[in-house]
Amino acid sequence: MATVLLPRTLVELFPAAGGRVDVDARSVGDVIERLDAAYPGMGDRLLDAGSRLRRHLLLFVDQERATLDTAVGPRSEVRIIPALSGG
Amino acid sequence: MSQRILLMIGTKKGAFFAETDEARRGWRLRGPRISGTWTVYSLAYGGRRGDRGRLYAAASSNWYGPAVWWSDDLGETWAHSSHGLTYGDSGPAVEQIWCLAPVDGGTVYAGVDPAGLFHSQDGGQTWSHLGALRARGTRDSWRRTNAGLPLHAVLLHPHDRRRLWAAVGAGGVYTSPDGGEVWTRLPDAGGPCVHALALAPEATSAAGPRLYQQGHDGVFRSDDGGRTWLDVSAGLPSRFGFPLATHPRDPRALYVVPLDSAGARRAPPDGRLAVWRSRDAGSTWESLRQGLPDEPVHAGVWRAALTTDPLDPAGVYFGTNTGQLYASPDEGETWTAVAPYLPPILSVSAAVLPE
Repeated sequence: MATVLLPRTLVELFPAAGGRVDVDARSVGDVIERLDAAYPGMGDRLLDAGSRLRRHLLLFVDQERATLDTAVGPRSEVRIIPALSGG
Repeated sequence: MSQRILLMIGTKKGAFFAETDEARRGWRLRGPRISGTWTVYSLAYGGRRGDRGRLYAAASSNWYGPAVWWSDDLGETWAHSSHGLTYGDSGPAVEQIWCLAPVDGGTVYAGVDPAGLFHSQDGGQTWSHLGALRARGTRDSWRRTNAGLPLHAVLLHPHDRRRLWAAVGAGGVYTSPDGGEVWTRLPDAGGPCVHALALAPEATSAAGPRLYQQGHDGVFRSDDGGRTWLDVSAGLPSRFGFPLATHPRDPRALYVVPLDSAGARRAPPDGRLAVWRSRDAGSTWESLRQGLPDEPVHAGVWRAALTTDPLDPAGVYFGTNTGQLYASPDEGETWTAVAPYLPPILSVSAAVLPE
């Protein structure tokens, strides 16, 4: 199971998720699908139309910048980070 | 039974609420709700007068995109969704939700940017696009403004809830006879850049209801549902402004906040913050500023940030884009500051609640 670390501002929207979620997934896109299944609506908060990552969010797998296609291993750590976006 | 007034205030950093009784003298403020990482463009109360209804909020986050939020406990706890609020994988991303118009029975309309209309029939949980308004031939004439390309007003006929009006900035005014399946563009009043559109109460003649609009180029009245427009700007210190509010009972009474347009200043002419009222359908205007600041004001009032309540005499409320909220319990004659230091205010709306 990969471990996903969620940002505080996302946990505020889905308190039941807590800050740390374990998922069985093979790619980052897969991770988001599993998160959305467990916490309905979370996918819409992370992805824009056309299943693109929202433009002010960053993904890391094992501390390397990642995309939705990046592979995820059984012991990977996936982080979703809100970028600085002003305002 | 005594009544309470709930003011719903959408700001750059969350939603605030102010409550008072019928006298409307002392206010209790709470907030922010929905959290300060969300900009709240507008709030709407979905209850019938006297019921405890659902509150809706149109909000966007720089990180998490736009969502509709709802609360069944007058704003204390909230749920959210944007399920179906999309133009599809090949369409543009929905950037913001601008306005919400609740109808009875869980039906809600949402106007968004880039301009388009969605509706929900389950109280906001799932949404579908009413695509006719964004038909290719229509949207080709739309032009972006400083505020984006918002569908910022959806109005329902007081007696026929299937008849709608919608305003696009900058793209004109549209009407639908059937709940949004078919749309007709109405003639421009001063131009296609409509800032605010409002229905007058109980002014339904055979020709159609009375509408008022504040446009980029003036204030206009229509006595036939928008088919013809009359310029009623004479007597105002500026033709430019953003908001416009109608009176809850008198179809001849309306309120605007004129602002300088020169040099994109967007502040009151000569720095004198005032709400202007007409009681004769726009033929003459008077400045109402007793209790408003004497010192020069370099702030504006945005399009959804002026409203009235349904009591008699009507309350009038507005918020500035520098975060001051003002209330008048007497149709605009006198004003008091309800909250001096809120975030920039995007919208103010009022609801009557049971005690």
